[in-house]
Amino acid sequence: MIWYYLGEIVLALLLAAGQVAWAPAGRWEGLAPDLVLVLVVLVGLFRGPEEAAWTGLAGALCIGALTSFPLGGLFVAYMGVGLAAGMLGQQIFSDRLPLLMITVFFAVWLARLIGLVFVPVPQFGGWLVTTLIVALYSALAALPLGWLARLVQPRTGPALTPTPGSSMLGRRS
Amino acid sequence: MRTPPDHRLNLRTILVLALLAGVLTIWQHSARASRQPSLPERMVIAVGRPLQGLFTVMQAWPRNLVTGLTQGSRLVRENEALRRKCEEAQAKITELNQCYLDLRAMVKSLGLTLEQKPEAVAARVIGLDTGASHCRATIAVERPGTVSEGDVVRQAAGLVGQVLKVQGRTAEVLLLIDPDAAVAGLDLRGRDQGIVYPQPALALPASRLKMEKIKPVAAFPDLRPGDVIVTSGLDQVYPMGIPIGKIEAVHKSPGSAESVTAIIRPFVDFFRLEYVWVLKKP
Repeated sequence: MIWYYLGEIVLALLLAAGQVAWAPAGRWEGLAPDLVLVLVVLVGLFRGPEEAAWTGLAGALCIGALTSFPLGGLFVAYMGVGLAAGMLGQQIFSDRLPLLMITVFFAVWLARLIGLVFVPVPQFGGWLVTTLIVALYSALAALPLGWLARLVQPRTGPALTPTPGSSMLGRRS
Repeated sequence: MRTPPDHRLNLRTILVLALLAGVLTIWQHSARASRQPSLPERMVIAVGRPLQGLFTVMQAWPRNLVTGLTQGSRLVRENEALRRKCEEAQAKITELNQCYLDLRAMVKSLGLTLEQKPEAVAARVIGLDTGASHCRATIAVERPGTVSEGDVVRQAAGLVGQVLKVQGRTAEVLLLIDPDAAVAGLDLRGRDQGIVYPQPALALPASRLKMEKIKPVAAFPDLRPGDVIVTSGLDQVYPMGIPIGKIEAVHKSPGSAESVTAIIRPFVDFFRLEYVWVLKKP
């Protein structure tokens, strides 16, 4: 189990570094997708709230350290989103990629709203626009990442009994 | 038979994680009092920054490959032309060096001193973090210790910002479009001076700057679209004469002719930074 958690830290660090070093040509109005948040949502949907909260903690630490951002708000935002996604995992058909994209879209809004409580922004209009762009871009980025997660999940996860209530795996089998 | 994922909430685990988050936050705050990252942050930075550098280099590979494949012959011709220009420039440098030595000897004989140009270090931009409340870049230099806090960062086109924090071979740069950034500007044509801030816009991060608090040379400010704004050096942060941008529009207050705001399009494209110069503090 310890390797699983260490693996999540490594993954969070890789995605955080990739997010911060996102190619200038691939930025949308200078903004990059929130890859770490996509990872947190994916872990929440596919693995459960505890793992997602752990990933949120690791991801927030990585992003905070690489961007010198205050950690408190990041922890609350990422772990909160992870918990919410983890609890949603039972309720929605999270293996459907369009639904995953919608979940990520709203997760970005939720995380940014929580962040707004901790770090006020100079202009609310600007915050709205940037959040919309990051949410859309992250939702797009969730498509390949979600597809990869679906490929990897049966090998790493404890998953996969076809129970009628379980989110993604029940219907696949 | 394997068990399904557990989507129930284990409060004890969550509380432990929340406690851990609290400890890390307090650690960061106490470390920031001494302007240093905390130990966990330093560990992340030690691994994350080289990764950032690697990703930045990897991003250039496909572009270089495509350019090489599609424009190979043109690049060879261009390379030849550039080599010739380079040789001509080398000859001019030799000539100028001779002039410089003569000038120095003359200055020395007159008992004067020459103004030293600040030393410059080339750096690669390995990270960009732009948002509504912050616009920072991370740069990496060849050797540690060549960059320090407060150094000025620029490109050939113009001013980029200022070094905020240094961590080994990497440094964090406060970009000119950060909401906290400001620079004393000078209109090259009219010589009016003012403070240049980022211009908040709906599509943040800001892509324009604005010049306010104008100190006119004459009775009223004389700023016109097309004027070039450079650093005035009055803020004692940025040396004078570094280009900032070109005035795009001038807004005059209907109530007062003295109240003028100039909207400036910066010369630097802050979202496409790849390489910069770091000017050492004199």
